[in-house]
Amino acid sequence: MIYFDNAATTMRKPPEVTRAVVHALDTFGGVGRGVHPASIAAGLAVYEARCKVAQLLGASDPDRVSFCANATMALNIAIAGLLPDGGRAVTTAASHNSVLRPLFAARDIRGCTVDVVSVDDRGATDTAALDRALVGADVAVLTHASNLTGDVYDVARVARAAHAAGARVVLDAAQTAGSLPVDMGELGVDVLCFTGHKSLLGPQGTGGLIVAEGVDVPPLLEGGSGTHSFEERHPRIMPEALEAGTLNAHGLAGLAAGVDYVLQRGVNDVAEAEAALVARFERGLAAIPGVRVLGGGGDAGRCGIVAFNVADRDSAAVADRLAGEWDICTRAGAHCAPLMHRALGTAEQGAVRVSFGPYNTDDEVDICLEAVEVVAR
Amino acid sequence: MTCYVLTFQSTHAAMAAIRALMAASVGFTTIPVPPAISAGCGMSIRFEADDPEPVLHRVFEAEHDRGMVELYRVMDDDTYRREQIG
Repeated sequence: MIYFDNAATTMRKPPEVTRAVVHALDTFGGVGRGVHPASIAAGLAVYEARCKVAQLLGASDPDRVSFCANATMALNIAIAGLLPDGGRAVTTAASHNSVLRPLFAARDIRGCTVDVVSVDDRGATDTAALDRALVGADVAVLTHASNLTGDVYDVARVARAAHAAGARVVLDAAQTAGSLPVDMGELGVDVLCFTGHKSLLGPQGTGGLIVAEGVDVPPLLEGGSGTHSFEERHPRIMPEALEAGTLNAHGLAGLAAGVDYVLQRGVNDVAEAEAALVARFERGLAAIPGVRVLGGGGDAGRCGIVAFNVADRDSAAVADRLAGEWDICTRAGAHCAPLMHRALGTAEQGAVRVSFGPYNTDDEVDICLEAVEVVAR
Repeated sequence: MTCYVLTFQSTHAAMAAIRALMAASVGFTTIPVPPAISAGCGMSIRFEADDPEPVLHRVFEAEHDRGMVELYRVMDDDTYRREQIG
């Protein structure tokens, strides 16, 4: 099998990830739910995961890293916590449904206003419109890289503009954490939301949010904390303020191992390797008649994603042939990015998305190119 | 040697302290917070030392927020006296 669906989830993980999860399943008690060795083992594993995530993503302190199930949950927590009832939020059409739907729910249920700034047919943001929209906004929820095109956006510039306008900045780093250098301090964002199962190489069911010092995100969920048990409300002490209920310590042990792989290899090395695969694939696609590569509108580079279509063929049919005849796993359809597809003119056709991970090779790219060439005949 | 107990406001702070003391090969045991003490986290650390400062130094290298940690001295009559943390 050639696995090119790493933007959905990385299938091949470092062997240390598997070993860490298996060891955790055999040995962990509940995090923070006892003083016995099994509970402490789980707590220490979660602590290690916080430290490694903080190191990789530029958190000011590990205690600013709160874990949850995935980036979608992290974004829901951040949006619910920073967008007041009747408040105003700004995002762009490049956003994933994990951003759009919580915002539209806030509009429909809590009387909020949501400004969605348009992107053009290459996915480029209307930056003038974005700057105008930020004025008077409570929060800007930005995507670091489009999960459809892989285009990376200049978040630091928008964060400066948002802060000048008095808005908080929430970043969806689902596609960039672990695949590109990401430092939330340098980017200047208030909350960075990440998932563990993509380029951080952890198991599904892991993710979280990093909250900058001085930023208060109230809990979305309240419940068991293992601490302050006689208080009526969930304690507001980070990181546990945003972690009601028993954590997925088994998964987080694997996440720590995955992040450790990225730290040991170096995120720059991962980024360069994936960029080389993207360049090789795009060069090959350019030589195949009828193939259209989508995007190109980012203003801060690319991550390891290439989306394309073959003439006017249904993207699902193309992906099915790649899978059925060559055992190549890609992702077709809408990619939970409806507004981006509309902007690109692919709402009906969808797109075939190829996304690379740290274990993909040039040979795999060449096999895929041969397959696309056959499909395109 | 005097016996001391460290308590914490969060599980994270407790884990930071445990990890730091393990790394420094400081002898300690984890115990439930004694009933006579009120703390946010139900886990505490018991250690013996003539001077608790080197242990506190290790803890605060990992847990930067000193408000997350309290230090108690175990008295001869098994009561606990809260110590000032400098």
